[in-house]
Amino acid sequence: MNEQLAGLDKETLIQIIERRRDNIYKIAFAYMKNRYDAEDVYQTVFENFLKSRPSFDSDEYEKAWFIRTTINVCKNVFSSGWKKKVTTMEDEEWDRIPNQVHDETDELLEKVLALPPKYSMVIHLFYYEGYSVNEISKILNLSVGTVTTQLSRARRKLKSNITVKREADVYGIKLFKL
Amino acid sequence: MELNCLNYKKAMDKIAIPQEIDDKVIRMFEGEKSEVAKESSKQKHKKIKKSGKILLIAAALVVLSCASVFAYNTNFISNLINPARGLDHSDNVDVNGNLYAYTGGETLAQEVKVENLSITLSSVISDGNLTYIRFNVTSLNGDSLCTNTADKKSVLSMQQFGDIKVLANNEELKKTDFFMFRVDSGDKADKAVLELTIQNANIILAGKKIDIVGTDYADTYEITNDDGSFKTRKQETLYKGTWNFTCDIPSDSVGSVCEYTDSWGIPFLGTTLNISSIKISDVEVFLVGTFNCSEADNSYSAGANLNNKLYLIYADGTRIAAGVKMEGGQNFKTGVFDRHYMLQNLIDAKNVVAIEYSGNLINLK
Repeated sequence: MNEQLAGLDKETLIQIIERRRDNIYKIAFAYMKNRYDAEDVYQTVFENFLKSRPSFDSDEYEKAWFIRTTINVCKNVFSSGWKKKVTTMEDEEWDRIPNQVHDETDELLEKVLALPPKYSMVIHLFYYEGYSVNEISKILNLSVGTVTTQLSRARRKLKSNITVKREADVYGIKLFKL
Repeated sequence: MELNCLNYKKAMDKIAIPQEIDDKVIRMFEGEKSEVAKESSKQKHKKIKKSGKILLIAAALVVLSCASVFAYNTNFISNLINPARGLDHSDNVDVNGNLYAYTGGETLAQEVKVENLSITLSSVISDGNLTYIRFNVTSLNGDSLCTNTADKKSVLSMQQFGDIKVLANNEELKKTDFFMFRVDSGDKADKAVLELTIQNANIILAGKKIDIVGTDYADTYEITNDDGSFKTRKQETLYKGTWNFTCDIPSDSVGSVCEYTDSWGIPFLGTTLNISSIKISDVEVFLVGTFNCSEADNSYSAGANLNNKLYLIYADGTRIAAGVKMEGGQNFKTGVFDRHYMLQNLIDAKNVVAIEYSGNLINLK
């Protein structure tokens, strides 16, 4: 690959966007849990990219750079005063999967998104990006043990949440968001 | 449903990525390139100036460009005072003696002699067409000018206004074409409240991009007391009375895009807004009342939004859409909401003469 991004042209940028848009947006979505913040993160990642113009030795390295940067931006946004200050409309948090029929996969996604970011991140990297525990540990800068524990806890939490929902459905109990 | 790669991917793949954000990135890139072009153009001008032979031509060019800037600004100000465009600022000083500056940051800083500012974004209200942002300005070399400091981290530090970059409708605009700063000089020369009125825009403050398109945020703010201390202004005028309006939403709106939806996107079948009182302070409007409606599927209750239906009317006829934030408990009744709600509009509320809701006018003065 070895692109000299200092002289980045529009076509190359479009190619990079096409290659990485899925990775970036979906990680941002999984982390931020709403599309507005995900879009914000998406643009900030590219803003960082355009500012730093890193050169990548391989496709994998490029992917890892974008994923790592996306997670960092998400963390920054999540912990920033801005986010604390302006995300006051709780409604937005639930504006997740608009304009579509609700089915089981949406339910699964909702349950994953309901997990704390550290868990939803490992789930996403493992199940969507297809990274191994070792690779995730490098991307997240965590030990292999920590990633393994988080992955297993995330699965357990998810299983328990899905079971509760099923039982509620079986017994006709409605769960309300309070 | 079990968690596995296939199911999770299926779910994730349903999330559509809006094309507009890619376009924004490309525009960002193109904007960057044009900045470089501008820089090189500036360099060229410097070289021309150095050349004695064409000094005269350069001087003529400067005169010409000054003239065009003057003409441009005149046009710009005339745009500003056009009510159709937004607030009416017909001159540089309002009725309260507050100074208005129409230009970019450098001019603002010169006019009110405020240096080393930091800016706190205190509120953003948008109806999708117009977005109003209120900043509190803090002097870093003295006492806080505004005490919106409950969360210090929320201050978006900015050493100079040059760091502001505005994109409107995804197009980068010239500052002078776009910025409208309102400066309340207050008791001290270095006191200032900055208001920025923009249309759908992304703002980049000190490298941090704030996308405010179509969002609706509100937050508390504090302003100066007469004695120079800082606390929330208490002055308010209370308008009592009862106004009942009905907003007709056709029953076949279920499943279609509806202006009134709950937090889950479920449209309401019918909406009645009952306003019991209106409180107006200098800077905000509170409407108190109930909001009754029926949800399409009688299922969840998690608050509701009322947007794009309430307008504040100013004396000059300016009509500003206002966001509404629901307030009150989460009492769930099957199919019926009872809510108190509050309207926050943080722009010159004292000059509001009427409120319009669904075509009905409430005269306040």
